[in-house]
Parts: sequence; C-alpha cells; structure tokens
Amino acid sequence: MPEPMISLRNVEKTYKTAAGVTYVLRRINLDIHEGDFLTIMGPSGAGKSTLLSILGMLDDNWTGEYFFIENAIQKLDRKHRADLNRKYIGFVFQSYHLLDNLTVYENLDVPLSYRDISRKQRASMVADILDRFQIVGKKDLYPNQLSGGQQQLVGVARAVVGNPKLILADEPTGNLHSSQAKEIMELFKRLNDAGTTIVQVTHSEANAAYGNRIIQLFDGWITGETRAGQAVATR
Amino acid sequence: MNTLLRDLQYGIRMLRRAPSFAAVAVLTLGLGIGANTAIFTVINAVMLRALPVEHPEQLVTIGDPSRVSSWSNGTPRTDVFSFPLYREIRDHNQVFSSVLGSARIDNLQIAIDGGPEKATGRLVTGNYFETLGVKALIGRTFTGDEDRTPGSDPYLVISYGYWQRRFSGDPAVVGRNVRVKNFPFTIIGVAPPSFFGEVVGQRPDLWAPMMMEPQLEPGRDYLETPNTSTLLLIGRLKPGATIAQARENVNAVVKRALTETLAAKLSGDDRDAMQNGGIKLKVDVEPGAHGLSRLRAQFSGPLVLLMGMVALVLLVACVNVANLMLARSAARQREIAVRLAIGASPWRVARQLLTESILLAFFGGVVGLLIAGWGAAALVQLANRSGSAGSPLVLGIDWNVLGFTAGVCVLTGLLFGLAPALRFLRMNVAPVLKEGGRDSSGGAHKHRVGRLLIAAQVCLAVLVLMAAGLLVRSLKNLEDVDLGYSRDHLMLARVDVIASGYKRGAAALNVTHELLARFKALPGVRSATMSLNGLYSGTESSDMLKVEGFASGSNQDNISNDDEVGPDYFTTIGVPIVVGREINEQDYAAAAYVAVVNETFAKFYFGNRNPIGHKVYLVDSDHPNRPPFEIIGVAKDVRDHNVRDKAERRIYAPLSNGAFDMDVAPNFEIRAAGNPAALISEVRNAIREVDPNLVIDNMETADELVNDTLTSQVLVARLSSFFGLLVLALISVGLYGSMSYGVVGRTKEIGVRMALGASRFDVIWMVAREACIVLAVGIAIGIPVGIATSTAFKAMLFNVSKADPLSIVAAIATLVAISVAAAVIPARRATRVDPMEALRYE
Ligand SMILES: Nc1ncnc2c1ncn2[C@@H]1O[C@H](COP(=O)(O)OP(=O)(O)OP(=O)(O)O)[C@@H](O)[C@H]1O
Ligand SMILES: [Mg+2]
Repeated sequence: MPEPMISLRNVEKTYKTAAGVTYVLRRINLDIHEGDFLTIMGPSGAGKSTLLSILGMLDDNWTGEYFFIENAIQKLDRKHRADLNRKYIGFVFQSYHLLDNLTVYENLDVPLSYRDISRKQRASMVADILDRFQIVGKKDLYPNQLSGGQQQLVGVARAVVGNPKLILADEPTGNLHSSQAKEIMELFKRLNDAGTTIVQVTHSEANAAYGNRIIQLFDGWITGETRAGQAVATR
Repeated sequence: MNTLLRDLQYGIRMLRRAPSFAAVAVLTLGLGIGANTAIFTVINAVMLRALPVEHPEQLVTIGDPSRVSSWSNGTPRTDVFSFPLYREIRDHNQVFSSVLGSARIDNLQIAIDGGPEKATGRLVTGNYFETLGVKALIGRTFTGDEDRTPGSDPYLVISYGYWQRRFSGDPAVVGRNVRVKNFPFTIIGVAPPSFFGEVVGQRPDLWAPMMMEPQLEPGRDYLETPNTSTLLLIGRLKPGATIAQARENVNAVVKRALTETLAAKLSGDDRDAMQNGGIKLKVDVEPGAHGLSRLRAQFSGPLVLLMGMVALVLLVACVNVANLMLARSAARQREIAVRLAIGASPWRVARQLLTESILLAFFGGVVGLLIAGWGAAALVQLANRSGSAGSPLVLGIDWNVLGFTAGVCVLTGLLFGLAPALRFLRMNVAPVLKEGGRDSSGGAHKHRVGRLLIAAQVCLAVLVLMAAGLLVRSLKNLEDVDLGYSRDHLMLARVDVIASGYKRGAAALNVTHELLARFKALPGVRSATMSLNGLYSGTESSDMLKVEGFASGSNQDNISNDDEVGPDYFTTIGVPIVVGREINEQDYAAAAYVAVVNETFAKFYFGNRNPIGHKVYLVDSDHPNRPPFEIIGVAKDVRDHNVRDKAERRIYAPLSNGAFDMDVAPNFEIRAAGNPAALISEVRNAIREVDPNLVIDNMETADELVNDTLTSQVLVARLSSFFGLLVLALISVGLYGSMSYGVVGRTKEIGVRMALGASRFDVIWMVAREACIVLAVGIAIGIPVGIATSTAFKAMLFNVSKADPLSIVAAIATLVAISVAAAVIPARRATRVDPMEALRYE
C-alpha cells in the first residue's frame, strides 16, 4: 500500500467558551489515499465542517499531527499552509462565500489569480468552467442576483476551476434540487476517476453512494467507517 | 426652537453613547480649530483690532505707519516728520480736531530707587492722550501745555503694566520722583489697563513729553530742525471731515510748509529740490483705527499665508471627521431607516445629523480655544526673537476671535456633517430594514464618497507640505546665502558717542578712535575697524554725487548709498578688494580724500572702464569747496543690510573726513580669533574703561544680527513645518481609521480570498492598492495646484523655483510613506488571523 496523501493522528480541536472547554474534534485518526472519494457524515454540530477546514488548512488552532503529501502540517506556519492550500486544494464552502462585489466570472477567476497562471490561460479556464457548469449566461451577474442554488453551483465551480488535486466540499448540494445535485456528483465522480481526491460532507445517502468510503462523525469522534462493500466499527 | 432643543438633547445622548468616537472627533477638530483660532488671534491683534481708545474710527495716520522707530537725518521726509513740520501740520490743518506726534526713545534708562534700569518708552506730544481720548487711571495725563517750552515739563505717564510690574500697583507712584537718563522726572499718572499706546506690537513702559527731547536725546536736539525726521502722526478727524479731505489738506499744508514757511531752515540744495519739484512731497493719509505698526508691515504677509495653511489643516481635520461619521453612519443605518419608515421627513433626519455635527464642532471649538490661547502666545514668542520682557503684542480673546471661532465651528460642522447627511437623504429604506442592516446599493456609494474625501485630503496635504518644503528651503537658502563677507568670528558693537555727551566733530571722532585702539589691543581680537552704517545696523545714508565722466540728468542716477569706514575695514569684515586697494592707516594719517566703491557702483558709473583714479564730488552747495574723493579701489558687493536683496551701489570714504553724516553712532566691527560671543564682556569692559558714561546701543555677533533680519522667514518656515507635521498626523490617523474600518468590513472577504489561495502579500496589496490609487489621485491633483498656489507667497521664497523638485519629492515621499504605513498596518493585522476565523466574522 502506498503512503497516504493525508494522514491525521490524534487531531483534536477545542473551543474555549464561557462555559469551559468544548471539544469539537476528539482524537481523530484518519488516512486518506490519493484517489479516494471520502464522504463525512454525521448529525449537525458533529464537527464535519471543522474537520474539513483543518484538512483544507484554513484552521490553525488544533492539536495533533497532520501529514499532507509528506508535509508535517503541525510544524508549518500560516504562509506554508497557505502555499499548500493554493497548490493542491479546492474548497466548497457550506455557505458558498462568494465575493459580493465581484461578478460570477470574477469570482471564478479569483483562485486562478492567486496562482502563477497567465491571463490568457486563466480566461480560457474560466470560460471552460462556465461552460461545464452551464452558467455562461450568468457570468456577468453579481451573487446577490443569483438564487441560492445558483450561488452554490458557482461555489463548486470556483473550487474545481484550478484543477486541484484535492477537493474539499462542505455540503456541495445542500441547496440544489436533485437533478442539479446529481450533475455535481457526476462531475465529482468523473474528476475522481481522473485521479482527483475528493472529501465531501453530506447528509444525503445518495450522494454518499458516489464515494468509496464513508466515515461517521458524532460529537467530535469518528464513530464508524464504511468502505464500499464493507463496514468496520472503530469503537 | 423646541425641535432644535430636542435635536441638541438627542445629539448629546448620541455622543455620550459613542465616547471614543466623540473623543477622537473632538480632538481632531480641536487641533484644526485651535490652529485656526491661534493664527486668527494674532491676525486680529496685529491687523484687525482697533486701538483701545475713544472712537478709533475717527483716527487717521499721517506718514508711513510702519516706520515706528525711524530716525532720519538729512533732507526732510514726508513719511516720517520733523518736529517743525509736525507743528505746521498741527497748527495749520483744517480737518483735525487734534494731531499727535510720537517718536522712539533710545536706550531709555530709569533710576527709581537705585541704579539705572532698562525701560521702554516713547516721546509724545503734549496732546497725545487728549487726541486719543485716553484718561488716566490714577493721577493725570499730559494736559497739552507740555508742548510749549523745551525742557520745562519733566513729567512721565507710566503704563498700567509697568505700574503693576515695577511698582506693584502702588497708588503712591503718582508724584514720585525718578531719574530718566539721569534727568529728574516726576510720575504724574498711570494709563488705563487696556491702553498699550498707539503702536501695535510695542508696549512702552512710559510716555514722556516731546519737549523733553533735548534731555532724553542729548546732543540730538531736533525740536527746531526740519532735517531730523522721527515723528509719526495720528490725527483725529473733525466731525464731518473725511479721509479724502484730510489727505488733500495735509498734503497742501506740508507742501506750503516745506516750500515757504520752513524753507529758510533748509539747505540750499534741499530748498531748490523742494521748490522745483525735484523731491516729491506726497504724504500718505490713511484710516488710523488700527494704529501704527512695524509688525503689521513685517508680518501681514506671513500671517495671511499661515492662515491659509491652517485653513487647509482644518479641512483635513474635517475630512477625517467626515470619514468617521460616514463609518458610524453605516452602523446607524437601521436607526435612521426606522425613523424614515415611521414618517420622519428626510430633511428632518438630515437636520438631526447636522445638529450632531455642529455640536461636535462646538466641542471641538472649546478644545480649540484652549489650544489657541497657548498657541498664539507661542507664536508671538517665536516671532519676538529680540527677547524683550513680556509679549510686545496684546493678544487676548475678544469678540472678533470668539465670533471667528464660532463661525469656523458652524462651517466645519456643516462641512463634515454634510456627506453623511446627504447619504441618508438618498437612502432606500426597504432593503435596509429587510436585510437586517445591509444596504447593498449604498455600500458602494459610501466607499466612493469616502475615497473621494481621502483623495481630497491627500491633495490638501500636498499643498501644505509643498508650501512647507518651499519655505524651509527658502530659509535655508537665506541662511546660506553668500553675504559677500565672512560673518563668523565677527562681532559688532555700536556706541552712541553723541548721546554720551561728545560734541560732534573732533571730540566724537577722537573717542571713536580711542575705542578702536582699545578693541584692537584686546587679546582674542584679530582685527577691528569701524563704520557709520556698517552691517545690519539699521542705519543707512545716501547722498547726491557727481561722478567724473558720468552724465545723467536724472537725480536718481546721481544718488548713491555711502558709508564712512575706518582703516582696514574690508580686510576686517572679509570683503575682497577686486581692483586697487582698500583705505588704510596711511590714508588716515594723511587725511586723504580717497574712496572705495563697490562693484555695482563701478559698473553703474564706469561700465567696463577702470574706475581707479577717477574723482567723485559730493554735491553740497553749502560746502562748495570740499575736495573730491579719488577712487582707489573696488570692493566686492556686500549684502550689508538685507539678506534678500541685491547690493546697491555704495561708496566708502574714510570716517575721519566727516563728509557724509556724522550724527549717527559709530559701529565697530571686531574680528575675533575664536568665538565672537565670548568677546562681548571684554569689549564692554574696554568701553567702560574709556568712559563709563558711554552708551552702548547694541552688541551682537554678525550671525545674530543677520538672523534677526530673518525672523519672519524663520516664523513661516517653522510654523509651516509644524502645520505640515500636523497635517501628516491627521492624515495618517484618518487614513488609518478609515482603512481599519474598511478592513474590518472586509474581514470575511479577506477570509474567503485567503481560503482561495491568496497569500498575505496578495491581501495586503489588495487593501493597500486602494490606498495607493487614492493617494495617486490626490497627489496628481495636488502637485499642479500646489505649484499654482505657491505664487501667492512668492515674496517669501528665496532662490527656489515654485516647482522646486526637491520640495515636491520630499513632500510626496513623506506623505506616501506615512499613508502607506497607515494603510498597511490594518491590512497586516487582518491577515494574521487564519481564514477560518475570518470567515466566521460577522
Ligand atoms: N466559534 C465557536 N465557538 C464555540 N463553538 C463552536 C464555534 N464554532 C463551532 N463551534 C461548535 O463546534 C461544533 C462543530 O461545528 P461544525 O460546524 O463543525 O458542525 P457540523 O458538523 O459542520 O454541523 P452542520 O451539519 O450543522 O454544518 C458545533 O457544536 C459548534 O457549536
Ligand atoms: Mg457544517
């Protein structure tokens, strides 16, 4: 078996609140291999988004060990984490986080603008993604002129536009109707088949079915894992 | 009225709820308003306020009101007046109910209960207090009888300040006998507290009757000669008389006096010139409510310039507060929206907001008044480098100043309150209420207005900084200008031998030579010489000449400045002789009629010819047999009385010949081996050893003297730099504030961008870029405007072009450095959090 792409060892996350310390993630141990299509499931408040942010190197306040393609993330500073994020990761936010004062086109261009890509190439990449998501007609609109579902579509498009090695998607279909959801899932599947590693959070069994692994999160603990065709209890 | 009261109450409540906002705004405005009030207080005192006398509007000045300490010997003048000419005007005019004359008193010394001490005072005609309508606080003033007989009225009126300071306000001062310049006088009264005299910028300790002049200026009896002009006149118009009538009448009286009544007392040459129109007899007669003032002439320009500058400072402060208000108004959108929704008219809301602004401005005004009181005094201190006791200027906050400050407050309040108020007038209520306080359309508008304001602010700052740069560079150039002689190691002393009792002619000349010999013998003195006018002495003389081989009909062309100098004058002060040689001991021994001329003189009269050996005749019909002077050398031009102006033509003759004026006090130029200031006490002792009664007019190093002439330049340079710093401080606070505010508002966006791969640098640049664009726009507009406005103070510039690159670059560089720092610090702070935290920010 090759080295995993991602390896979490005893990762914990706490919040200090007035009531005391709340644990959000407890002793997370998780390996994700290149080519995996992993689904994280669990009730609301279980810590799914939190885990995804840590994987995406958007969160700096946790303990434990996190190895990402031979980088010990816990030893890296913000700048190096940002570098890795930029180089490998595309992120779909649960609440889209489109930039309000930019058009759809400009929103899609933002991640590319932070990479070393020529203007011309960027234009063709954005055009390609608009086309693939069938939102060419919306390219000059602002986010507040889009429906929630459309915004989510743009959010997904923005995550994949840079052809990342790893896609982290936090409920990418939460606001989409089932046919749109299916399209997204099929896109993910195609990307996954082509080698992209995908980690998604979803409440939908149907969506989960597109992946090859499911982990269950409950109250910050990983309570179970299912691989395609088998079930393994870890606790 | 009721609503206004309610608006005010509500406004105060709003400010109390946002104390840090209120504090920053009030302090910012206080600085701006304070600077304005400070400058205005001085302007008011120097230029606007009427004399503290009865009906000042009836007063007119006769002559040049800036020549308050002039003392001119020679041809009668009509900008300052001789006593006989004053008497003619007083007795023969038809327009004044009364005319006063006043003149300076030199080296006033008063013995009250012990040795002599210094005091300041003016010689005034007996009708002085009566003309001004000033009554004594205690005792009496002069009655008018004091104008009759010279020497018969040894009375003094003292000022209230002097009475308090020196006599602790003791009423028994009236009737007290004192000695002034060793002559017994009696104090007869104390002037009222508000009365400082007729000269703005002087606060004399005492006033003495004009008729005591022979006692107070021994050896310079000028009461009967029309040739010594030293009086300035103020007349009180008769009811119904106008300035125009006064002007006509005074000119007619003066003309008749100088061509008829007094003609017999004039020299032949002067009489001819008066009668054939060779000398213009024009007298200025102007409104005199503001009194006389040299200060006014010297500082009006600089004060107006500074006023302009502080107005810009205030504008910058206004922009800061406007931006603060804009930021805050975003937070108040919901409140306002609710008010509008429940039926308040937009106008009513705008008025409420403006009331709050003006309220803020008035709090700023109160802080400003405190700052101004201190600032104006500091400014006068800075301008008053002679360091005489107490401020020469009565400042004080009167209705003018209060009115000005109040006006400024209202104006600033409207100015910075307008942008936010207008914003609400255009607000669309529904989306604000619906979206829970997010106004998507107004957001862009607010940003635009904010940026526009900052660009305007940058533009204003460029103006101030460029002006400061130009003024500082001018001062530097003035300080470094090649004066034509070496001023370091040079000490200057003036001894008034005439006032010390030496008779004009041989006696005066002998003691002068004796002093010179003493100075030369002092250890630490390398060489010493003397002259009548010397360097920066304040005295100047010129005469009509006939230069051999030069023919010109114009009187003006035949007049040249002149000076009488001791042996080795040029080597001692360090002026190179270009051709020929200087006047030396042998010339003195031989009493030779020789002269050195300066380059300008040589060029004017001789062009490219060699002037050596040519003769120069002094035109003086009263002494037709005086031998001519033979030119023996040409000296380099010297800026001897003014740093700014080019040298004028000048001819130097030996002092011993007494050919020109021999009425002024001789100046000694002493070159020290080391520090010239260290010589002062030794020179003083040497003078005492020759004669303890010798009156020392002045003793200073050349450096000090030259620097004294730069006072107003130093003032504007220092203050404009100070205001430049103030503007920089305001702008950085403002920019920092609005950038921080902007960054906080964009925290979420910053989080998203970081999550999408933006590096820290990307984020900082994103924020700073906006500041840079605003900065660039402001600067691009500011530079040409700055160059254009510098024309307004061309007169204060020296050897710099209006578009001086160094000043511009320095101004821009400081501004950019400060602004970028102010913009980047909040951006850096924003990037320090991880994207997760930023994303959660609401
Ligand atoms: N700033 C915070 N301070 C304290 N607790 C927090 C904070 N942010 C999140 N949490 C807690 O962390 C826990 C996990 O949150 P997380 O967003 O990861 O849940 P989730 O599994 O993604 O839920 P959902 O399905 O609703 O999106 C929650 O219980 C939440 O209350
Ligand atoms: Mg979640």
